[in-house]
Amino acid sequence: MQSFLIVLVIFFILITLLYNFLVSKKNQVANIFGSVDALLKKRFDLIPSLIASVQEAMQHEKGVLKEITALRTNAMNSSLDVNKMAKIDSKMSTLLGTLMVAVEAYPDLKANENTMHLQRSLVELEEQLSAARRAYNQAVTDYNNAIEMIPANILANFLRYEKKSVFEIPVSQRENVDVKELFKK
Amino acid sequence: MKTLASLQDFFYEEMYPQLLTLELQRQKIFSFLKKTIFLLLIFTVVAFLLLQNFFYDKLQFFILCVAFVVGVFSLIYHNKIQEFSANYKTLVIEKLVSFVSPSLQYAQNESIKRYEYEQSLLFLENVDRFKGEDKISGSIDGVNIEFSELHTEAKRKNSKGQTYFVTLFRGLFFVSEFNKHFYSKTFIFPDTIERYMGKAAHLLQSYDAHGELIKLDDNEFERKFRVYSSDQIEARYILSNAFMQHLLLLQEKIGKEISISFTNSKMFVAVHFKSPIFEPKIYKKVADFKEVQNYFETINYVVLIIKMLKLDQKIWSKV
Repeated sequence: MQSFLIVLVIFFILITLLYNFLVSKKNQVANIFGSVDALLKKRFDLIPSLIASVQEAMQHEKGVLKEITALRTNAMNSSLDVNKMAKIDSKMSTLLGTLMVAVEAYPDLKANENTMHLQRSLVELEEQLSAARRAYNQAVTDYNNAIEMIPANILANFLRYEKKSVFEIPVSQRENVDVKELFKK
Repeated sequence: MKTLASLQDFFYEEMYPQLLTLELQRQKIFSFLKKTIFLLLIFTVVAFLLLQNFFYDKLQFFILCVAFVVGVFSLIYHNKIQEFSANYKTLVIEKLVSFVSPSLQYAQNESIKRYEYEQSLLFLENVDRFKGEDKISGSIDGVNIEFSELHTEAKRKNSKGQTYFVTLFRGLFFVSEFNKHFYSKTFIFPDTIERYMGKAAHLLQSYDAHGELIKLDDNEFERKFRVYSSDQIEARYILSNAFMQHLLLLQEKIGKEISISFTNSKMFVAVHFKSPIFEPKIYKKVADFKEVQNYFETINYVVLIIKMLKLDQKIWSKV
């Protein structure tokens, strides 16, 4: 009887530790997603001013501008889950990238202090977003590993913890290093 | 960045004639030291032979004699070397510093301040002995930077209660501004364990007073460095993919262990050395290009750190 009780206590302690471990992983993901979300909102807030400052000059990019506005409205109006948000984020990064490249072709815009200020703010924000995405992806990887590993997977199944998907990191953000150039200097 | 060819021209045009004079001084001191040690040894042997019968414990007397020789010689040695070393530094190190960049200043007897070393939080143990010299400071490509040689030690006691010192850090210590804003504390240390144990090392490294272990998405970087931070996201903001690549290249180029911290809006870089850095060797020729080239390469770390980590490419709000 006594040994049965000891086994029961050990079993209870193990289950508690495992449960706390899974909860900490899940909360870590939620916590970091909060930061990603805040940065995404900051970027959405910047978009109307950016579009207002460039739309008159950019006659040929009306389509891109429209698409950015629609995407922003879509993201702001509905409560999106992580997967949808990740898709919108990825598309938005591509569109904003296209827009920023297009701005280079307009000397008037490049001379405009306001546009340049917005562009630089966006670049800085994109860097912060990239860091947040990477942190989120690591947290998701840790979480996904945790819920798939034995014996945590049994408890995770019971708790209905599901696999989460990661943010796609745009290739452009993985700046290639010109090794030759560095050594040439 | 200065090339080897321009250093060679500089060496022969600006340094060589004066180095020949210094070489004469070195030879004089070296021969004086050789004579001193010879005379000291003879004196001690004679003293030992004459006086040994007055001592009950001959071994103790012999040890006393050896201690006398070592003590007197090191006094004379330090006295002679100090003057030579100061002359050498004025002639070689000071000139090399302005050759690397005219905007850099050299102060032989100054160093990075103790509070700056402590501010870096790289070495958390209490310092009982703090020594530093050869401070170089200034601005390169708009980046303010200062560095010096540092040697910090902590006091320990052995089982017999005797006090001795252990080195906490010896090497070059850089303090510079960083090109991004940050509010958290982030630390990068060489990862000796992961090189052998792989990812399993994370288990051992998870708990550290420097903060939470940050797992990064660059395998090569992960293998060579371990990172701790008080903020997961800001650590990755500082350690962008490009920065990690640049740091790997920098370490390869320098070829020494590097520890870095980002605290109090500054970047602190500690390059670990095993012996004193800017001290001339009395037994080696001073009018030697190879020796000067070694010193140049060490001073040039400052340029490598700024250029290779791209510290001059500031984010716009820091411009």
